[in-house]
Amino acid sequence: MPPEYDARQDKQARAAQAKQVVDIFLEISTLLNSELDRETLSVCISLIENGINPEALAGVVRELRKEGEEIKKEIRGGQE
Amino acid sequence: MAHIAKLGALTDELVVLLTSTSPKANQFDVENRLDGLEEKLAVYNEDLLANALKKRRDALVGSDQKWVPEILHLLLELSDKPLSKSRLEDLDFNKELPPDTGPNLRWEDLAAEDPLLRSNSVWKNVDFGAESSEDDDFDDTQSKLSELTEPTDDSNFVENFTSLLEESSIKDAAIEDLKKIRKAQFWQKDPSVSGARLTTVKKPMSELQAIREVLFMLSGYPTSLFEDVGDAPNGIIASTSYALKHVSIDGFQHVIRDLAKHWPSLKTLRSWVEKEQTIPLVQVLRNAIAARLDIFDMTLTDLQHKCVVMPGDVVVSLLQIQSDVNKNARPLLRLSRMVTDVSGGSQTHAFRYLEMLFDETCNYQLHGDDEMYSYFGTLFFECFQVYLRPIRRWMEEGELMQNDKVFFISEVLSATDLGTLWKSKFKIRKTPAGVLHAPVFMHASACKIFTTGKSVVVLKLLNRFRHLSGSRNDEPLLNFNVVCSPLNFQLAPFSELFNMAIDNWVKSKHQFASLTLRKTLFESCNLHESLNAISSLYLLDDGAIAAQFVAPIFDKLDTLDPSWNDRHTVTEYAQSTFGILPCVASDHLQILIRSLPRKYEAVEKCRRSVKTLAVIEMKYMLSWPVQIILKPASKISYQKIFSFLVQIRRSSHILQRRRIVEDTLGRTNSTDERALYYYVRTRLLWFTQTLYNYLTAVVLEPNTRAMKLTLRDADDLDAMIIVHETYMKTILDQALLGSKLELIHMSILKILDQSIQLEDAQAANSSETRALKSQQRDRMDLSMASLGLQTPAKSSKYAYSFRRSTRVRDAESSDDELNVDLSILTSTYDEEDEVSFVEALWKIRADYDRLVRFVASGVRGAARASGGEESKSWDLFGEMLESGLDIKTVSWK
Repeated sequence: MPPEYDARQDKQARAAQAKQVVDIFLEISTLLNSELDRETLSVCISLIENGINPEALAGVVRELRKEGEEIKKEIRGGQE
Repeated sequence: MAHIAKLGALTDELVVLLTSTSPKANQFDVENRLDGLEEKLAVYNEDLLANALKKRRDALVGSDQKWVPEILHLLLELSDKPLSKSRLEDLDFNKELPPDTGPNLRWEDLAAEDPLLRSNSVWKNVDFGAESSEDDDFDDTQSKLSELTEPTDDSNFVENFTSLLEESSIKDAAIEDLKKIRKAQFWQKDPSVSGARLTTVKKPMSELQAIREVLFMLSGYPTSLFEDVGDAPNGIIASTSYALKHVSIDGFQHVIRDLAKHWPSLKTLRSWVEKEQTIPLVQVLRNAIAARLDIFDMTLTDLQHKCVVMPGDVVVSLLQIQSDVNKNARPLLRLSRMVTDVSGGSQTHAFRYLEMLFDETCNYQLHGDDEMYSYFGTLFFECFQVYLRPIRRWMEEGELMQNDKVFFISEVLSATDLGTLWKSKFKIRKTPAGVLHAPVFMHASACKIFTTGKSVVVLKLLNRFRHLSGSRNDEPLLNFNVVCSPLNFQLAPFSELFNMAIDNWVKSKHQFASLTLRKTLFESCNLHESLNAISSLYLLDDGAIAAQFVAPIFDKLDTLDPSWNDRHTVTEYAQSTFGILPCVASDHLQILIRSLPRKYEAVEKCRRSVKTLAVIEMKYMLSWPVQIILKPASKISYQKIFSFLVQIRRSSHILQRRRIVEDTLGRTNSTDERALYYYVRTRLLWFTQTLYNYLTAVVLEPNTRAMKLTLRDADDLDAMIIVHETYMKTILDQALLGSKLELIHMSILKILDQSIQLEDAQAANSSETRALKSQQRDRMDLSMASLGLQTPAKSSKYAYSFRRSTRVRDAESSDDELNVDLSILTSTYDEEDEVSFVEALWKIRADYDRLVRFVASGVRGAARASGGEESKSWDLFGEMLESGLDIKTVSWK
C-alpha cells in the first residue's frame, strides 16, 4: 500500500532527523560542559520550542540545581 | 514543606515566563560567543575540542530548526568552564545503542520454522563414520569407530552445514539434495553387509580423491585419509581404512605413509613462521621461510589446479604427485630441522643459523646437488644481508646500535679519555671460551672490520671524516648469483668464493678509512714531528744540545749545589736548550724529579754515583691521536734510555773536565803514579766513548731510522702500533736495559761511577800536593827569611799556573759553565778511609779491569744464549770491549 508506506517512511525520516539534531545539541552541550543529560536537554528544547525565554530557563535550571545540591546535603547530614 | 513552597514559587515564575513575550535571543551574539569560545580553545591548545565544536556547529547550520539560536543561548548560559572541564571522551558517553529496528531474530523462531534445527544435538560434531545414514533423520548416534575417525574433513562439514542452513532458510526442505550429497560422501558409509560392520574391508576411494586428500594434508589441513594422533613423533599416521580399487592395499599404504612423512616438518615450519620474532636476523629468516612455504603452497595449488581444471589431457597419478611433492618438499624438510635448532638456541646466538646455512650450502655443493645448493645459497645470502647491516653501519659511520647483542663489537659505555680510545673504548665480544662471537666464516675479516670502525670513530673525532655513503654504490654485491655464478665458478668451493667476496667487500670500506686516517695522522697531527721530538728529547739525538742541557746540572752536582735537582731550574734548562729544535714545542716539555732515597739526599753523597741521575724524568706531552701510537707506556722505556745516556754523559763529562794540557802531576808524583793515573783515565775515557758510540750508532740510530720507514709503510693503525712496540722492545734490549741483562747494566753503572771516583781521588791528591807544596814553601820562606834572602813571589807563581789552567778551562767552557774546582771535595772524604792516591788508583784500575771483563764476557755469553736479533748487537758490543782490554789480561776463549 504505497501511500501508507510513504507516510510511514516520512514519519520515520523526520523522527530520525530530529533525533540527529538532538544528538548534535547533546554533543555541543557536553563540549560546553553544561552538565545536561539527554532527557533534561530534550525537555529544555521542548520548552524553548514552546516559547520560553532561554535566559530565564537557564536561570531556572541553575536555581533548581542549587536547590537539589542543598537537599542532597541535608539528606547526607541527616544520615550521619 | 519548604521545598514544595519553593517549587511552587518557581513554577509560578515559569508560568509568567511562558506568557511573557520575550524577544528572540540575539543570533549574532550567540554566534560571536561560540566563535570566541572556539578561538579560546584553540589558543589554549585544545585543538581537538575546538574542532569538535566547530564540526557540530557546522552540522547544525544545515538543519532547519528555527530555535537553534535559543537553544545554543541556553547551552552557553549553562556552560561551566568548558576550557578546563570539558573533555572529548565525554562525547562517547552520549552515544546510545541503536534502537531496535524490528524484533530480534530469535533462535526459537528459526527452530519453529525448521524442524531440523530443533534438536540440540545439531551442534555436535558430525560423525561421518557413523552408522549407515540412509535414513532421512539426522540421526547422530555415536559410532563405535568414532575415536579413530574423530577429526572430520572440516571443509566438507562446513559445506554441508551451510547448505543445510541455506536450504532451511528458503523454507524448502531440500532433503532430496541432501540425500544426494550424502551419497557422494562415500566415506561416511562403513562397508557393511546386512548391517554388520566389516572392519577389514577398506572403503574404496578413487585416485583423484586420494590425491586431493594428500594435497590437503600437505597444505596443513586435517583430512580423513591421514589421522591425527596428537603428540606422536610423526603427528599423523596414514589411515588404514581406505584403499584404492586398482592398487594393492600394501602398495597404497606404502605411498601414503611416505607422503605422511612430510607432514611433521611442514607443520613445524608453519607453526614457527607464525611466531613473532624480535631480532631482525631471525625475522629475515622467518620471512624467507614464509616466502618459500608460499612457493610450496603455490606448487600444491598448481597440482590441484591441474587435476581440477584439467587443461588438456592430464594423467591423474598419485605417484606423479608423490615425486613432485618429494622434490619440492626436500629443502623444506631440511629447513624444518634447522628451525628447531634455531628456536632451541639463545637469542644472542641467532647468527648460528647462518653458520648452519653456510654449512648446508657447502655440503650440497660438495655432493653435487646443484638445486639444493642454489636454494640454500640464495637463502643464506638473503639472511646474510641483514647480518651485514650493523657491520656496514659500523664501518661507514663508526656507530653501533644500542643493545645489539648479536653483533660482535661492543662499546664500553663508561667515559674513556681520548688517549685510550683506540685500545679500550670498543671491544670485540668473545664467548667465555674465547671464541669470537660471530659466525665462523666471519672470523677472518673480523679484525679488519673492527679497525675500520675504530678508524672512522677517530677520524670523526678529528673532524676529518668525509661521508662514505658514496662508497655504498661501489661496494661489491653480495648475492648468490654474483658470488657463485654457476657459469664462472661452478667448481670453486663455496667457502672460498664467499671468503673472497667478503674480503673484497670489507676491503672496499676498509681501505678508504685507514688510508685517510694514516694520512691525517702524518700530516695534520704531526706524527713525524712528534717522533722527531721524542728522539731528540729522549734519545738525545742532537749531542751539542744535549751537552748544553746536562752541563749545568753536572756542574751543580760537582759544586755541591743542592739545587741540582730543582724541578723548575732543570725544566728551565731543558726548555731553553731543547726548545731551539723546530720539532720540539718547549711548552709541552717538562722535567719531573723523582724523590731520592734517603741515603742519597745529601748532595755530596748523591754526586758520587751516577745512579742518582735516574731521578730526572723527561715529560713531553703529545696530542691524543699521536698517543694512540706512541703509547704512554712506552714513555717508561724511553725514560730508561734517557737516564742511561745521561749517566754515560756524566761520566765522560767529569773525566773531560780538565783538559790535561801539561803534565801537572809530574811535579809532585812519581812516574808510576802518573802513568797509572793516565792509564786509568784513558781506559775510562775509552770505555765511556765506546759505550756511548755503541748505544747511539749501533743501537739507536739505525733502529729509529728503520722504524720511521716502516711506520710510513704500515697498512693501518694497528700495524703502526705494532711497529712502534717492536721498535721499543728492540732498542731496550739492544741497549742492555732488558731484564735479562740487569746485572751487566749494574756493572756498567759501577764502571761509570769509577770515573767520578778517579777524578775525586785526583782532586784530593792535587789539593794534598798543593797543601804540601804551600807548607814546603812556607818553610822555605821562613828559612830564607831567616837567612835574609828574598823570597820568590810564591803566590804569583802558584797563581800563575793555577790561573793558566783556569784560563785554559775558561777558554774551552761556555759562558755559564761554573769554575769548578774539585779540590773543595777533599773535605767530604773525611769519613772514608784515608787511602793514598796510589792505592786509590790501583784499586780503581783493578775494579775497572774486573768489571769490564765481566761486562764483555757477560754480554757475549748472553748473545750466545739468546738467539734473537739483539744477540748480534750484544756480540758486537762484546767484541768492541774485548778489543780494548789489555792484551796481557785477555783470556782466550
